[in-house]
Amino acid sequence: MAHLLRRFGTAFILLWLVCTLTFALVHSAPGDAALLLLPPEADAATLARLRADLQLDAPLLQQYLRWLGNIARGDLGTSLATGRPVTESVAAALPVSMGLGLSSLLLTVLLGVSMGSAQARRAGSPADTALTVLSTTLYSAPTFWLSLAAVAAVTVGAASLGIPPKWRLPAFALRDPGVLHDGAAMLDLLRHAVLPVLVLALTGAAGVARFARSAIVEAARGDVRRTALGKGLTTRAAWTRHVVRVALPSIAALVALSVPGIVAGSVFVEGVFAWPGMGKLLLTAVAQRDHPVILAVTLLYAAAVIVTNLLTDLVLPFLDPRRGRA
Amino acid sequence: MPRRVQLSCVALLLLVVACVAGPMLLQRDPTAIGDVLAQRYAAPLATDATGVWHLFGTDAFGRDVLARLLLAGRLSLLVGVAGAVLSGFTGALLGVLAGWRAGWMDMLITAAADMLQAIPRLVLLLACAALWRPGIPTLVTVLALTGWMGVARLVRAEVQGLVQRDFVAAALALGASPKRLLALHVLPNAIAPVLVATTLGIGSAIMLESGLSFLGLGVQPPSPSWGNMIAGGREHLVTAPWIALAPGLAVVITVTAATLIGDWLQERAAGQARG
Repeated sequence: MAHLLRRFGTAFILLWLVCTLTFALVHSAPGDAALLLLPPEADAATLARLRADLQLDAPLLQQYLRWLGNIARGDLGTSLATGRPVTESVAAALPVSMGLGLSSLLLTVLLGVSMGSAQARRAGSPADTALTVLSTTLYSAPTFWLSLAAVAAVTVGAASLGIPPKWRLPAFALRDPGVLHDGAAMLDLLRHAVLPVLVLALTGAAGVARFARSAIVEAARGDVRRTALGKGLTTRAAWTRHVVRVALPSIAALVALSVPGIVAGSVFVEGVFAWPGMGKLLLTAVAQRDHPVILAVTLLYAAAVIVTNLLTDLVLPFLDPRRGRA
Repeated sequence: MPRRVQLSCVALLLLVVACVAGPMLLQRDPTAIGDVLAQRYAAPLATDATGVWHLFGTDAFGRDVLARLLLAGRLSLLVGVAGAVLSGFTGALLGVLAGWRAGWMDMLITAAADMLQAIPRLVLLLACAALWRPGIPTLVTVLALTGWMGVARLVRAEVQGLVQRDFVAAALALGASPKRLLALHVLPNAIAPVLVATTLGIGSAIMLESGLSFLGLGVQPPSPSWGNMIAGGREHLVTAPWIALAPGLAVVITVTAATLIGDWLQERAAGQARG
């Protein structure tokens, strides 16, 4: 219990530190938001009024405390570009991103662990080496470039192969994200999701396979496998029920560590496929120098990472088969 | 050394030599725009309307893709290596400090590392690139500032283990100053993880550079970089796919080679630790 409380405490402090860092980052940047908002011909009086409106003339500490208080109350500020509350845009974008992120994470883990396990069983064979080179290559390909290649494949590529338009996958233009009134809208969403999920899952799985392989090779070195074989299990059962399970906690820990990477990939994928989630929101905000939105999205991504790490820490002991059922 | 690592070394070496020497030998200005209508969109291995042959074709402004690719490679490789080496150096320094001096220094460095690792590196880079003026100095600084944490953690653990060893006590007993002790006895023994992480870091730095330049936040045109070349080819994906394909392949080859070499170094280091 004390351990649990301490773990929650550190996560909370970490979140506060991240808030402070992002605030410091935005406020150390040259130029201020008021200058960005006004046309160049605006006079000093207008500038002063806008600065007062945006409370930019208050001392930094006061701005910081007010901003922190607002965040604690769930108020992420107002977008400089649209003049609407940031919470509104985030509320629209978050579920869209979550859908993409969670489905590709699931596929990433399934594909990555089974590939790593298959490689570990044949460690050192030509097939293992070929798969290592393949996964390293996929892992080394920029996601935005793979996305562009996928777009080219379903547009020009499919057309040149003579595939009728009805059977082609759509590249962009998701109609109404987050609104699912009927089966047709659902089908439309799924069809649009195929390419982004595939790009994210393939690059993610390549990364997971790389460390799953070495974790399972390490586990197979131990006594677990010999004992399982000794008590008369088939090679296959010894492998899936014992060796892979022993490696599972370290794989889970590494998957949690790769969450920031999946987030990064999704920013590019959302950008290329015009998927209206958090990544697209961040890219638009960066292009428009929309500071409140950049701050909010950065914080939410950090919160997602911190919560994932916390959950992994709490669940990890239960994944370890050697822990027993106490 | 396995075959794939040998091939990776050869590929990287060839690429570096080509990028350094290529632009001097090709006698073509990769950024100059000539007779656009006659020269643009020449396919790879084709001759354009002015009679010049292009190995990788030309882009929308009639510039030779190969010449641009090699010039871009200089910048991309430079930014990648500089970013990774600076990250490795910062990480080693802070890791030694944290591992050697327990107490508030250790706490401060560990907290900073925790904090920076909680924010996805790309998001942090995007935020920084949006806030400060984009360009190569900003890019390298931000890459170094966001890449040191992993190395620092490894070095800290390594140093904490090393200071308990007898040879450190022996050096202290012989009157070695802390500076000499760290530089000559502790750091050489903790260098393996730094080398591995720096090699692997080159790949991720090149990838991040290309990503930021793709978004227009990294290397600014007309200077070519692999990322902004891909961005330039994005609009011509349908009519001239080679414009985006060539720089993408260059990134894939470089990052794959660096990662395969890094993985191999890591396996060797782990094998030595196991004995």
